[in-house]
Amino acid sequence: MIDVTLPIAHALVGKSDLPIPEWLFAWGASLVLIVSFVALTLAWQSTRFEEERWRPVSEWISRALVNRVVGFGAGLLSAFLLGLTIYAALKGTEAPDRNFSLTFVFVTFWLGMVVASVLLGDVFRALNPWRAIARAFAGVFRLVAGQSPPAPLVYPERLGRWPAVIGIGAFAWMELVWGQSGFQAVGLVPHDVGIAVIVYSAVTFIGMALFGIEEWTSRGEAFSVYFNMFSRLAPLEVREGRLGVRRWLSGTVGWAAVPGSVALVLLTIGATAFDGAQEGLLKDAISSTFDTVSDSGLAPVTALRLTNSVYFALTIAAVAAIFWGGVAGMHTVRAGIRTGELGRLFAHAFIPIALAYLVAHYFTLVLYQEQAQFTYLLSDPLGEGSNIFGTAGSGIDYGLIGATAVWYVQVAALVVGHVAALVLGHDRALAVYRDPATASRSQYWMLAMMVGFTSLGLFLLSQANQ
Amino acid sequence: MTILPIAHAGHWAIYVLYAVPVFIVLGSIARTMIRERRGSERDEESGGGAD
Repeated sequence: MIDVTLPIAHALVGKSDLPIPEWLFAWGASLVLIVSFVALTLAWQSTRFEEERWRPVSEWISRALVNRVVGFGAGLLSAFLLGLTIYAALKGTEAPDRNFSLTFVFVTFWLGMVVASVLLGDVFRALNPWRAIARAFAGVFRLVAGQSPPAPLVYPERLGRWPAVIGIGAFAWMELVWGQSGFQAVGLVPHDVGIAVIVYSAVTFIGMALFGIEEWTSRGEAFSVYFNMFSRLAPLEVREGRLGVRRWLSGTVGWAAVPGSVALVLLTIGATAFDGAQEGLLKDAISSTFDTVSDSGLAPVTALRLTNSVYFALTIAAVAAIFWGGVAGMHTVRAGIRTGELGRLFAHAFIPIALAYLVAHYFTLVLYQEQAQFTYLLSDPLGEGSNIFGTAGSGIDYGLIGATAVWYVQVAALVVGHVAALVLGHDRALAVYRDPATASRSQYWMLAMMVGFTSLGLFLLSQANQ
Repeated sequence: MTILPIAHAGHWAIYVLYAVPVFIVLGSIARTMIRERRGSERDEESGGGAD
């Protein structure tokens, strides 16, 4: 193992000229949430997201954007990028900052696709390399055998999105525990990423072979499920080959009815919270636990990964505890709906929070690393001196945005995300409780959770930035 | 040299400052719940007296 500092360690910088202390931003954000809550209670008296509001766009626009040629091109591009990632990871330089694969997997793909999904809808469905390759294989199979490849197993309903939860958990663990620096550099080398991509591809193709391409893609394939979750916020959706529009956020309604959905959204928030906490809030605790574990005779890297694994799990458990605590509070308003069912009814409201945490935490990382991705990493993907597009000599402009502006973007992301969550929660409460007064009372607990997550998010950012 | 715990107040006071809004909202919820419970108890008592 080569010890390196991960170059994608977050490029957060100190803030020197804020007009008020950082903690006062948490108070201000909380005030915005409380005012929003009151406004919703007074002015939002009937459900607006529960009923179907999707309507198709004009046919020529739909045909121009959603057709076989575009689908084939997207599939081809995604398969090429998958191949390039594996090739660069296995054959390119071991220097993480000069190898295409690391930035592509952890920034362009993992974070960039979230942004694309929120703005454009479920674009990953077209850009999913595993689905594209499997469909191409199925096409060849049909030509040869005269029938579609059969799926020998029926996907068990109770499995829901749980395979995807495991996949996303494993990915986040690999990024934040296996490869994250924490307080001490451990490093994630491109070769590890290449192996991980190959293993994941094998698992995905086996899942598709067993349960069918579309079935596994929609339930078990971790990234499809993950990006689809964020695409529910988008105003665009393709249905039966036709592009249509809907209200922002409205696609989230009904999303959490499938088993495993609550775990997925909580895992997403928890993983991001851990990433922030390990740079600040948990830094001393991790350091102290690491010393204790090291003293027991474990190798330093193993001890660090073990320690980080424990805190990773604890952070996700803490996020889950806040969520289920709030849901239990809602349960006191009116008995009759089990706590677990209430959790599933309101979990979709936490998708905007997951997005807000991602934007607040990784905004600078995307801003800086994408400059590298589309300049020198594209021209020299292996990091061995090529200059395909003439941009190999470019660098990252860290002065693109000031530290104060970054802080305001982070605060705005958290506030907007939590207000959106309040709106979704309030709308769902009106559908669940029928009477607006009871619905509002149930949402006191949602407000408490929103204020808690906003303050926690700002606290983690302020600590990580120190 | 012994360092008094209060010397670290600057660190943990920040934690408390971030938590203040959460405490305020939770306090309001508790107050509302207590008031509603008392109200329903009063209603039950007055209803029982009328029977």
